[in-house]
Amino acid sequence: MTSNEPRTQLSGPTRVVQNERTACRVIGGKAVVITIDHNQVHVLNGVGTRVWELADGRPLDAIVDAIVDEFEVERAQAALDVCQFAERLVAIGAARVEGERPE
Amino acid sequence: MKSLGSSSPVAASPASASPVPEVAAPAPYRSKRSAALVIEGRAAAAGVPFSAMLEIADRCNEACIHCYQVQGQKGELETEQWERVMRELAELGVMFLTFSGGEATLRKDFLHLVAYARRLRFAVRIFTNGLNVDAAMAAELGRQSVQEVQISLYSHRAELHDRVTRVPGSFERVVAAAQHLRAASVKVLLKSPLMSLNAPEYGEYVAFVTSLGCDYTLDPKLNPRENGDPAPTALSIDRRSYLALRRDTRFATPPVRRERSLDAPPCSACRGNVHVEPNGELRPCTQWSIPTGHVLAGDLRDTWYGDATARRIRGLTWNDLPGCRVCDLRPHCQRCFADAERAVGDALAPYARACQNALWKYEAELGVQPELDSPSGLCDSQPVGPFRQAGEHRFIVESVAPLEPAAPGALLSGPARPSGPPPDPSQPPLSRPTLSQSLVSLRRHAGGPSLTPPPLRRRGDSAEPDGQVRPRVGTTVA
Repeated sequence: MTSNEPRTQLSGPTRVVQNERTACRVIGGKAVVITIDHNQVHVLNGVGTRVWELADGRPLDAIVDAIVDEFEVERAQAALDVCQFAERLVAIGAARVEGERPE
Repeated sequence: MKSLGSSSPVAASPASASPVPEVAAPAPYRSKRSAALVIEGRAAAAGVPFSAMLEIADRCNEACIHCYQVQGQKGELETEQWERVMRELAELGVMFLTFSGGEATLRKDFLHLVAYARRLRFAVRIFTNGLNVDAAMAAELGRQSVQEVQISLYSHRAELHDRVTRVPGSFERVVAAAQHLRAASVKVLLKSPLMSLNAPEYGEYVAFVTSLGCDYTLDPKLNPRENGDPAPTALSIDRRSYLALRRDTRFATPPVRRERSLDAPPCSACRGNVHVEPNGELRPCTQWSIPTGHVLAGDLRDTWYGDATARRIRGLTWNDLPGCRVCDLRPHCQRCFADAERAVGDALAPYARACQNALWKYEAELGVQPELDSPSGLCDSQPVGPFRQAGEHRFIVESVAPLEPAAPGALLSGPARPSGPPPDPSQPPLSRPTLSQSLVSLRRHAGGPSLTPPPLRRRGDSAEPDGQVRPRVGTTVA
């Protein structure tokens, strides 16, 4: 990765898990997530839904492996996207980094 | 090779009835659709219900003077049976789950059922009178991340609230419950029907509720008791109170709908919400006492999609209402099948309360009281439509020929229903009121709804139906 490429704060070994303070259903192949504390609804697209489903505390590297297995994408690109997306999930309160206390 | 691309902006969408920002819209624009409507729309497109109302208790520790319920006659499902119901609702795709009663907190397993629902990832709401919600229960509901607790509070004055509930001291306990819940970071909505008793003071009520850090809702409609006793409606507000409320700028009203498609359903009965009585009987909605199956009579998915009565009701549109379909006040009408059945014995017919409400709503929205002409020349104090427009703000009351009765059992003789498992012989047969059979058997759309169970999503399938990866990973709001 060069210095001009986007960086993420989360990395492959980081373990991200769905926040228990959410409600969720997959409707029409897309996850609808309600963050109870923020009382907000987020609709994930198809790939986001898959990442969400896999966010059970396994390392992000393992999620990347699964995404690469299921989609036509280069691993480096998938790693960047998954880490960025996991950051967004944590930022909106839909997920948390394993080992960190929930809000 | 397609790239997953970069993450999209995060759409922050209030889960309540607040506006939802649209990701794709130019920055200054915000969708007027609430997030709940977004979810409802997605669920409807996928052909699944999005909410469920579980009336888990057939008892109450208040005796409110206006209550529509008749308690102590239905019985209640056991803990394990409610667990089964919730598992099947989750599999069905239901997201919002409401615990109600009677008084739900009277069940010894109430907190267990809430926790069970949360483990299934439902967004949980609770309807309660607040009497049992002490600090410990409030803290537990906070720990369980309950989305909202709605408590009935009938006045900002203790004397009036207690007079309505007929439980001395209930006002103080409701206020304490609201404070305990707020301290536990639980969203609280205090609600009341507007009655002749409390309507003149609704302004003070709103100020009081707001001072507690709670939301509020006021409902101008009172319902007859489910046994047909119309007594609660004697407490209904008059035209002046209704208009005052509707014109209050604090209460946002939806824009006037000038058109209402004849192919649209008149209400959401049997559509987005699964309503379960304390004994497990399924009904079209809270108000309509016609069974549409039983949660223990086989798989809930099969019952929801396959019950013949539910399919008939789900298929009803304005076009199936012989009087209402030609009424020019239809855009202002909020008729109710259950009300109509109780009032005139025909769920599909016009009835006085709905017609009166449509006239009031017209006046509230357009600012002009409509004039009514009757062909007989007689002035009816409670005119029943259909109303045909004869000039600006002027309508003629039209008479409608009475319906012919349907043949007995006609309801079940419609087009083929999807095959489902046979009823559980251990369960008592479900009674179907003959009257209601005739109500829904005559109609043009007797073929039932277009809703079908969606295909189950299998792990390992590609994330998109066409096998293509979408260009973005992220969150969007439709």
